[in-house]
Parts: sequence; structure tokens; C-alpha cells
Amino acid sequence: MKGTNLGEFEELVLLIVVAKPEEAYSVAIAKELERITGRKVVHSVVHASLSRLLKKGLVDSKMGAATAERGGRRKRMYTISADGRKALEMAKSHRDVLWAMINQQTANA
Amino acid sequence: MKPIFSPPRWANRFLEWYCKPEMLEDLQGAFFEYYHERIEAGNYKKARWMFVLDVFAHFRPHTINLESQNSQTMLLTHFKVSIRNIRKQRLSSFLNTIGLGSGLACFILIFLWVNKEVNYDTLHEKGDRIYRISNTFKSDSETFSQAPSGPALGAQLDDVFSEVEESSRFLNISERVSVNNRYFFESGLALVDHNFLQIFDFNLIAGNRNSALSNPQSIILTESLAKKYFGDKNPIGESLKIDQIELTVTGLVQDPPETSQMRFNALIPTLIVKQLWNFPSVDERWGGGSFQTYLLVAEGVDPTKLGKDITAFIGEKLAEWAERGMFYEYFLQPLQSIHLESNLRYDYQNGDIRIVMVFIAVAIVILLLACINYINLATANAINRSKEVGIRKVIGAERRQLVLQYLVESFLIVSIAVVIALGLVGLMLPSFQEVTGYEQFELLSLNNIIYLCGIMLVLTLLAGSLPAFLISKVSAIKVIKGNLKSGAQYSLLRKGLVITQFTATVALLISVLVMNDQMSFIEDKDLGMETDGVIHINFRGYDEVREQVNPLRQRLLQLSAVSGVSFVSNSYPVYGLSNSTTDVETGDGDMVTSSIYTLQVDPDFAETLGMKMVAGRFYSRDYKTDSAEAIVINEACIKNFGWKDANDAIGKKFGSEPYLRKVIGVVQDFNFEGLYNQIEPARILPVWNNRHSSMLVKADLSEVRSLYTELEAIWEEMIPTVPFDATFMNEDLKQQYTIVYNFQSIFLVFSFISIVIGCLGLFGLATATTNRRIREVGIRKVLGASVYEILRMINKDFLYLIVIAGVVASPAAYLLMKEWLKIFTYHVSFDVLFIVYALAGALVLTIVTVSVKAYKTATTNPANVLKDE
Repeated sequence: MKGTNLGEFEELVLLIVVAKPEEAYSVAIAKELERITGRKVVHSVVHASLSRLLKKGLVDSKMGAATAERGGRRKRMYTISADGRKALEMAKSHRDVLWAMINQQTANA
Repeated sequence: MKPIFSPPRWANRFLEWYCKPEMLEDLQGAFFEYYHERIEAGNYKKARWMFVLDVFAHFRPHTINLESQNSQTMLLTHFKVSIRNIRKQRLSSFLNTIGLGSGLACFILIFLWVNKEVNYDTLHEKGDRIYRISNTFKSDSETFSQAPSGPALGAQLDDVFSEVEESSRFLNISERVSVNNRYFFESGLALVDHNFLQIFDFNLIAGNRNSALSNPQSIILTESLAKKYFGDKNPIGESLKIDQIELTVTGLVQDPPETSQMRFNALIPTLIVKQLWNFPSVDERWGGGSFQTYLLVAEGVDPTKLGKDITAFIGEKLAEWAERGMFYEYFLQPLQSIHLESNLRYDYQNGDIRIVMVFIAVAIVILLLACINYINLATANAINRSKEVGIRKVIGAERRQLVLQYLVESFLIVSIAVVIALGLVGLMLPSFQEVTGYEQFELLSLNNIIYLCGIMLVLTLLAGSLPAFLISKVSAIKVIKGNLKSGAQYSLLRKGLVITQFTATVALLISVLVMNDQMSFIEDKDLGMETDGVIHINFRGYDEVREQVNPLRQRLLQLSAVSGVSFVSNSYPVYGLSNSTTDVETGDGDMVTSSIYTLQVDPDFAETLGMKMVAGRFYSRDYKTDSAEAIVINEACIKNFGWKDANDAIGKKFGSEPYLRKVIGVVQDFNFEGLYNQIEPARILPVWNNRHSSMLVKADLSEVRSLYTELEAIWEEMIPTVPFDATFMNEDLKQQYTIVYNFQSIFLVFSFISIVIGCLGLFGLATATTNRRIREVGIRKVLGASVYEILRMINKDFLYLIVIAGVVASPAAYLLMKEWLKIFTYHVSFDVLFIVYALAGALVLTIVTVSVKAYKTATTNPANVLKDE
């Protein structure tokens, strides 16, 4: 299934969802991404990415608490799903295999 | 800070409208959160705009609610139907998009230009408190207003008047600059006072705003000049020489923006002139002067009153002048009004609010013409659409929905037109930059995009609403019964619109013809001197050149291409001459004091510039007495001093003992101030005391370009310390008319486009008419009408529209052009033939446009047309 494939950006978003579960809503994720990557991250892109993850079933969501800054509106909090965790692990294992190859080459050289 | 929760309501509602309900709360919350943050950051306006941007940035497939809401489904259907319609009616869609697109392109270009013109000097934060102090000089013989004032004003007014917080002078000078033994003639060296950068917010990149100009031996370079002198090296602390004075670079300033009345390449403390011009009293001189003076006044000061107080104050200082009947009346001009509204002597090259208005009018007219096209074509096609409308109504469409359908269609057309327009603007921008002299146009800035969206909306409503309302009015019953009288539908409206269009077209045609006539008149006008093939080398009177005058002349005359060399003193008869007073013997034998323009030249001058003598002779090296006792004058003097004729002028006395001179020759009038002005009396004197300042080299026009490089090489060999600064005289002369030339070429392009738009409209209308009459044509053919007769019949309908347009347009164009011609002292008279030409042109255009379509109809086999019945 195509749904389990993760784009680079999606992977980052997903990782943040796992890493900061208490802050896992769109605005905070966008800020965190900006802080980590040092790139300008636009909210609409994060939001689109989260919607896609939701559609692929890689995250679950439920409405969280409301705050005054948000004009009394609740935020949608995201949590990783079992499929999501699998997808992350798979992405990591692909990388690990490849890095192992690279390291071996450097060691041989 | 108290949070303000009021982002733009409409944007919020738009969000609520499009957004999927399950996403709405989260998204809205997110936008409010960002909004709140930006408000906290302190920028309320920005926060509001960013909110709008956020709302639009999230208008994406995954957020848009496609289901459940009926109106949205309808809207989608409208889009679908509109696209089908546009594709079905290829011809009229094509005409519409091209017409609207080119009209819009003109509009955008003019908008860009106007935007520059009206936004001069907006850079300065204290701009609303900055004024330029200008004056009206009054004496017994003349009164005129001028921009510059005496240098003491800028130096002292801030000390004298408590209302004046700061005052600074500004004057651009040209000097020889030497940097590490390289020499440049640099213009745009601005003399300013130490507080200049405290008044004006030019962007200082390096250096201290407050102190960079306090030392008289300092200079602030603009980025481009710093690059020219020092490359990529940090210029701060480097030194350079202006004339013999050594200055240290203490600052680096960004080049002033294009929309700054003050343009400069470097800033130098005014005090340098104490040394540079040997002018120690520069801070004390109240009268005369060539400095612009800017004042930063305190909050709440009445500029009119301050002007009067300054007038009174300086009146006392210049009491001696008042005794001789001369005084200054000072007035304050708001900084930001100067570019468009100030028109004084010795002012900057300012814009003109009237020209801005003309162009705004032209832009709107062109856009209206394009809209009219759209309306024309849409109503002409109404007959085809009325069946569609009838059926829709029968099925149950409300009128509101039909109107929306049409508006969506025109919105689509307008959108395509915008794309075409942007493409056209992209194509035309380089030449537009050249013509307007502005280089930095930000076509797609945030503001412009917002304006563009606004214009799209206005255009959609303007062009789309009339057809939408008219067409949706069709009665369903009539359509279904098939007795819809389609022929005359809206034909009056369409005719009216075509007349409007062609009135504009004919008026523009006439204007273009008159402008062309005037400009070729200027080019061909006998200036009284031969300027083609003359190179002007300005060496600004440096001694290194003065010592070499004779060797230079001999060396250059040896070149085969050179036919004449003449040295002159501040007398280049292109930029105008200096004016002074002298005693002259009149026709009655009295001596009167009169003001007269003066040239100082060597004996080769007349021959080099091909001037003709009306009487007597020019100076000659064979007459030793010439230099002290002779004078040559121009023809204008004869009338001015009441002499009988040119021969009578010979021997008349000029000046007074011991400098008395007698006229030895009268030279034919020559234009020394451009064709805007009348030729005034002028005297030609020998160069005094070897004070040559520039030279003229005459060559054959075909060889002058190659000669230029040759001259440069010789110059650098003989006089390495003075830069070679040469120009072509005919180009310098033409330069005076650049503004007019530019105006003309812009006008030409826009007229052309509006004519094309007019023809497109006509073509569309002809299509509709011939389609309507296709059966009539068929029957006529069956009965024996020839193709020619049918063409004539169809054309006749249109020709009288053109005649009406001509009648309206001619007087309007006549009045307009009469005003325009007044700019020139020497101008053509308005030729009535132009009206005839323009009308003939319009007629030919009409006949060709209409006949292209009508011919096809006229040659159709009648059997094909008539078999339906």
C-alpha cells in the first residue's frame, strides 16, 4: 500500500508528534520544525501534511483544550497510531541499513 | 497588552464558508493563535494582512468542503459550464481575452508608473515636517520664483528660528575626483550640511549618522560610487581627492531610491567650498546662491507664517538690496509635494501632476474600451445564449443563479486576460523602463497583487454585469415558442458603445498625427548651426588643458576626419548660456543698459558650427585688435535695440570705456536654448584671458564615431590628468526633448493598443450582425445581388457610426492638441487635414475589419443558408 510510505517532511512531522506528545498540534509542530530545521515552515504545509497522515491512518486525532489566544477554540491534538509507529520504524530501518553500508565503505577505504 | 480579537471579518467568514466543518475549529483556532502572536509583536496592520494570507494559503483541496453545500456545487457547475461556453465560442473568447488583456496590460504599466510618480520622497520618516524653502525674486524689471536660496539660510536658520529644528543645504556639483592617481569627472557630488542625515533617512550602511559629516574633510560615498572607486574593498577610511582637497571616506550610503528628488553619488560637507571655491563667507551670504535649502520644522508649525517671518528676517539682512528695488519673498514647499507640484527655476527635473492625470485618464479609458468590447460581444452573442437561458428557466433556474453563471463566465475571461496582460507587461517592461527612466518596477509585490485582485473583481462586475442582467431577463416562454425577436436586441446599446470606442480611437489618431508632426518639425528645424558630427569635449577649464590649447588644435586638425576645432569658454549653445548686463547703443544713438546672453569663443567657432554671417565678418586671427575692440552679435539684437537692419548694426557700440567694443559682424540667429524658448539677443565675445573650458570638434557625420575613440586615445596621451568627457552635440540637443519624446512614444503605443481593441470590438460586432442577417444575404443573392453590393450594404451600417464618432472626436482632439503645442515656442499649427487623415484612417480600418467578416458571408452559397426553412 502506498499509504505506508513516508515523505521526508511527513516523517519529520510524525517524529515531532511522537517526541512532543503534549504539544502535538499544528501550530506548535510548525514552530518546532522551524526551530529544528532552521527553515521557514509555513503552517499551511504542516496542516496539509497532518491531514495526509490522518488520511493514511498514521496518526489519530482528537480535540484538545481551548485557550484564550485561540479565541476560545479547541485545538486538534495528534497522536501516533500503530501503523504510524510501524512506518517510522520501517523508515528508520531502511536508513540504518544504508548507513551501515556507507560506514563499511568508509572503513574499508 | 490587551489582546484585540478582530482579524478581518470577511476573511473569517470566507474561511467558515469554504472549510470542512471537522477542520474548521482547529484551523480557525490556529489562525487566531498566530494573529494573537503578531498583535503581541506590535504590528496590528501586518497581523490583519497575515490573517487574510493564512486564510487564503489554506484554501486547498484538502480543506475545501466539496460536499453537502448546494451553493458550492452550483458554483462548480457554473465554472464547468463557463469553460464549455468559452471553448465553444472560440472567436469571441479570443477577441475578448486579447482585448481585455492588452487593455489591462496598458493599465498595469500606467499604474506602475503612476505609483512611482506619486510616491516620491516617502522614505523619510519625518517627511511631513520637512520643507524646502524656495523664493520669489522681485526686482523692477522681473519677477520669478526659484528653488535655490542663499547659502546662509541653510547654515543659520535653525539657530535663528526656534520653529526650525534642523536646516541643511543641498547642491549637486561636478568636480574632478582623483583616486589613487585615477581621474574622474564626477557629477552628483552633493554638498550638504552635517545634520543632513538627521533630517533625511537615506539608508546609511556604514558610518555614524550623526558624525560622519562633521569633519569638513569627510565624504560619504554611495554604494555604486564606492564600487567604482574601490571595487569590493571596504571604502571606509580610504582617501580621495576632490580637486586638490584630500577627503576621507567616513560613510557608505545606499544609492538614493529612484523616487527621490535628491539624487547624488556622494555626500560632502558644504564647508569644503570655503577651500574649493575660495568662498570663506559661504555661511554668511543671504542673497543669490544656488543651494536648495531644506528645513525640518517643529511639530505644529504653520509653514505659511514661518515663510513670512523668514522673509521679514532676511529682508532686514538684505536692506541694501531693497534700496535697489530687489527683494526675496520666501515660501515653504512640503517635501512630498515638490516632485509633482513644484515648477520653479533651477528646480530638479520634476514630474508634473497634469501629465500624471492625463495618464490616469488614458489608463481608465483604455480599460473601459476593453470592457465595452466585452459587453458588445456578450450581448451580440445573446441570441445564441437566449435559448440556453430559456431552457434553464424552464427547468427552474432562478434569475440570481443565471446572473451568477454569467458573472462566473466573465470572471474566467478576465482571469485569462490577466494572464495575457502579465505576459504582455513582461514583454514590454524593458522598453518601458527605458522610456520612463525608472528601472525598478516591482510588478508582483504583495500590494500589487492585492490591487490586481481588486481590478479583476471590478472588471468582472463592470464587463459582466450588464450582459448578465440583460441576458437573464429573457422570457422563457418567448424562447420556447420560438418567436424571440433577436434582430434588434440591444443593437442601440451596442451602437452607442461602438461610437464611444471610435470617438476615443479617432481622437487618439489625431493626437498621434499632431505629435508626430511637431516632433519631426523639431528635428528638421534649422537651428542656425550644424550640430551633426560635432563632438563636445568638456574639460571644465583645467589648466593642464588650457596650456595645451594650441598643440591640441594643431594635432587634431592633422587628422583627416576633423574639419574644424574650436575652443570656447562656458559657451556650449545647447544647455543655455549665461546672461549679463551691458551698455548698448540703440538705433537712436543713445546708450541703454540691457540684459544679453553671452558666448565667449575663439575665431574658429562660427566655421566649426557652420554659422552664417548676415552682415560683416566673424573674428579672425589676422586682426590683432579683434580681441579687445570687436564684438559679434546675433540677429535678434537688431530688433531688440531698434537698429534698421544687419548692415546698420555694424559699428554700433557695446560696453563703456575702457572696454568699449564695436560690432564687426551679425550672425544668423541660432538656437542656444532649445525650441521651447524664443531666441533672445546674444553677443559673441572672444575668450577672455585664455579661459577656455571646453572644445568642439567637427567631423563628417559618418566618421564621427570612429573619431571619438581616436580622440580619446590622443587625449589620454596628451592630458592624462583630466578625464576625457565627450558627447555628441546632436544627441545632447535631442536630450532636451527626451521627456517629450518619451511622452510621445508611450502615447503612440497606447493609441495603437486602443485602436487594436477598437477593431476587435468592431470585428465582433460585424460577426454578430452578419450572422443575424445571413438569411437576408442569402435571399438577396438568390435575387441577384453581387458580392460588392452586399459588402456595401453591411458596411453602410457601420460607417455612419464612425462619422458620428469623428464629429465628436475632432473638436476634442483639436482643443487638447492646441494645449499640448503650447509647450513649444516654435511649433507647427494644427493642420485640419489631420482630422481628415484620422477619419479616413478610421474609415479604412472599419471597412477592412467589417469586410473581412462580411466577405465570408457574402460568398456563402445561399443554398446552405436557406435550406433550413
